[in-house]
Amino acid sequence: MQKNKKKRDFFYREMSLALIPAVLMAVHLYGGRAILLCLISAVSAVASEAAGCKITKQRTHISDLSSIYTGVLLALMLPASSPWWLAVIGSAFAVLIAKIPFGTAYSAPFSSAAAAFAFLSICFSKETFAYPVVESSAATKIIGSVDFVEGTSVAESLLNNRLHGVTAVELINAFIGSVPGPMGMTSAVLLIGVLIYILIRRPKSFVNSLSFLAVWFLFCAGSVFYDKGFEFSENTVRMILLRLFSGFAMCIAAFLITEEPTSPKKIPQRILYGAAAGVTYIILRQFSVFEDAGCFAVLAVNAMWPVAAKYIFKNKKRKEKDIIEGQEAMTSEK
Amino acid sequence: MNVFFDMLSAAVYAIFVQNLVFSGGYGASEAMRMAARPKRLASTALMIVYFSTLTAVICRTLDNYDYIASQSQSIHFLIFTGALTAVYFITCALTFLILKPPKKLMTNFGIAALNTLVLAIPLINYRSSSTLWESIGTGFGSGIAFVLATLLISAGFSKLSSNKKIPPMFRGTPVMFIYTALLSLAFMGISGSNAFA
Amino acid sequence: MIRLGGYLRNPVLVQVIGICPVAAAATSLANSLVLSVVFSVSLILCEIIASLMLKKTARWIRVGIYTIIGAAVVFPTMFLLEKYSTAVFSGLGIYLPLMAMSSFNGVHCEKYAVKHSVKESFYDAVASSIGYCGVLLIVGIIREIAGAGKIAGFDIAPVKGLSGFLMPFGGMIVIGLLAAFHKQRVMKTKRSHAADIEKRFVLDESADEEGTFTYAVKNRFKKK
Repeated sequence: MQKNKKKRDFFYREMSLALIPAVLMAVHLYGGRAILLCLISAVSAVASEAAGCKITKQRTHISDLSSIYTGVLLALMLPASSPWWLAVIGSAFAVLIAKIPFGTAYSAPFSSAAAAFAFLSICFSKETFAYPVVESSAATKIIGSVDFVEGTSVAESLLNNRLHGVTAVELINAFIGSVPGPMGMTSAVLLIGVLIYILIRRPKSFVNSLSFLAVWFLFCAGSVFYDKGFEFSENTVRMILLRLFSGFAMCIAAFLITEEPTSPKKIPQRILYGAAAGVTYIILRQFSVFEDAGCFAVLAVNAMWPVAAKYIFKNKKRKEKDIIEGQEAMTSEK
Repeated sequence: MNVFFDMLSAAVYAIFVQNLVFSGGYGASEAMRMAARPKRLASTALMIVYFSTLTAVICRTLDNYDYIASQSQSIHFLIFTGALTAVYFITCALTFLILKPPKKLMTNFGIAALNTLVLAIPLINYRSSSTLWESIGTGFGSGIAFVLATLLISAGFSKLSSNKKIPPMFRGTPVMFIYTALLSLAFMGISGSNAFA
Repeated sequence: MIRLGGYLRNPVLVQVIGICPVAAAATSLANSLVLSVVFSVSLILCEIIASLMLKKTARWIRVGIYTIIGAAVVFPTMFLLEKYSTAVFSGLGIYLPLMAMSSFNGVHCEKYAVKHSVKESFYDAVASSIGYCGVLLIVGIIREIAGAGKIAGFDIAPVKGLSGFLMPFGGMIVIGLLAAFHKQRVMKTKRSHAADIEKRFVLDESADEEGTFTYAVKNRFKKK
């Protein structure tokens, strides 16, 4: 019990380390603006925490790095061309609404970063999904007006059925992250690295990711095979991989679904949790008005899980307890 | 088959795409108050389905008459309110006369029938020019949407009751409102900002 | 009495009744004003009539009568708005007719009006109206500023507005924050009432067999 408690206390510190490569990749792809947005978002989150804790008269928990983690993660999910106030509003919402009223980050029932991104998607859907073309970053000013050329993300192309084939070079670009998309979440190779890190440092959390990716992979493979008339070719494999790594799928697998406060604790429940997130993500990717409603999928699973925990898993426990008590009563009577 | 799909799609729309409680706010106070009493949910939800479906069918049938269909929005709303009140009175009168039930059941009838969620169904059907079968589907969907909303809020209630870290100023109703708000945000994923007007 | 009914036991922030119009429809000052007037008139009429004439009537009949009284107040308002202010009418959507069916009237009349005199019921209605309308107006103003960057229809440049606050979830957030600030004020001035706020929303997992239709049917056959 002590060991489990110690692991949870360092969750945000460990996952903050996992964000560093994503930040570096964002800087490599988009220049100095990326680090500026991350800094603004993190500072806004910390300031919101300080203000919120002062108003609610509770001790601040800045040292657990949860605010910084939330701020930077949110910034990495936004486009590099986002105005600075988008990151400020998002991180303030994440802390002041999704975290402070529930106490600490460890007692919040919803993923703060996912809630903030969902809020921004509704309020500023244009700015939140306006992904810049990577090559134009060289001409971008760090502060001041933004000179980006708007590109089309892979997720959007797939949604509009504009991608029927992909070359090896295009797949490698998508794998590295050199495609329009969220600032720090387009690089599949990097996010696979984060998953390996999670496997080593937090093997139980890795179960959530694996379960989510398994469901998502089955859907990707099934839909591509169906589109291609069940023909197996190199192009089919490339399309499956492209779809697998598109949108927020890898971001959810690496960061949002592994959040310890909102995740169940036992392995079978983690498998179910990850799978439920995968199914919800598939439904929302197909039917949502947004280009990628991954954050809404995470929120939905965060919302539905307590119902499952209360009515499905607790009932089973009670039934087992009743059976054991009944058996004990019988043996004692004998 | 088309009839079945019409009803099913209307019901699914009312439950998930634009959940009546979370996306529209209808019956929100009933859902939050019922969340504190989860064991009474099933009977209330069945009553809601009964009242909303029957009222939706009556209102949609009335709209088939040209004289009524040509009236203004205000007159339509007046007719729908009248229809729901009539359904409530007739149901209560019949139940009272035949079953002579305890007072609690009659109180529950009032809670289940005369709330914003049940009246919203015929109003929404009128605004979206739904067919009869879609109206029935929305009626069924309203009860299930209410059950889903109440279960979600109730589960959150249980979780928050055991959370000792909630700041004193948020303990009780304030944190429940914020929790319900975030639940509502989660349901905006499909429809976005195109909520009920 | 006004302090108790309108502030310490605020109908929205403490008793959690009548949330629908506040969360969904109170998106501007104009909307909130119309809803406040309709609500106040409807509640005062309901409580006076309930206290004066309905004390001896069966409960299930009384509840239906409150709806009729609510409709009698709401629909003339709708007529007038549809004719003279289509912007406000379309802004309110179906939430104005839903005021006729608000749970508020039923809960308040049943809890108070039928057990007290006409004068006391009138003061209770006024107190509750002040409390409810206060919340409506504050929420309406905040949501109009935060959601549309306007106040009373006039732009507050250069604020763009967060359209999320015009959605029901935004309304719930504003109500939640208002409830928290209300509780903090109550904690500073009246500690006993602060504890009362927490106790009002307690999880009750007891079954209510008597309130179900199947119980009524079983009981009927048992008697036979």
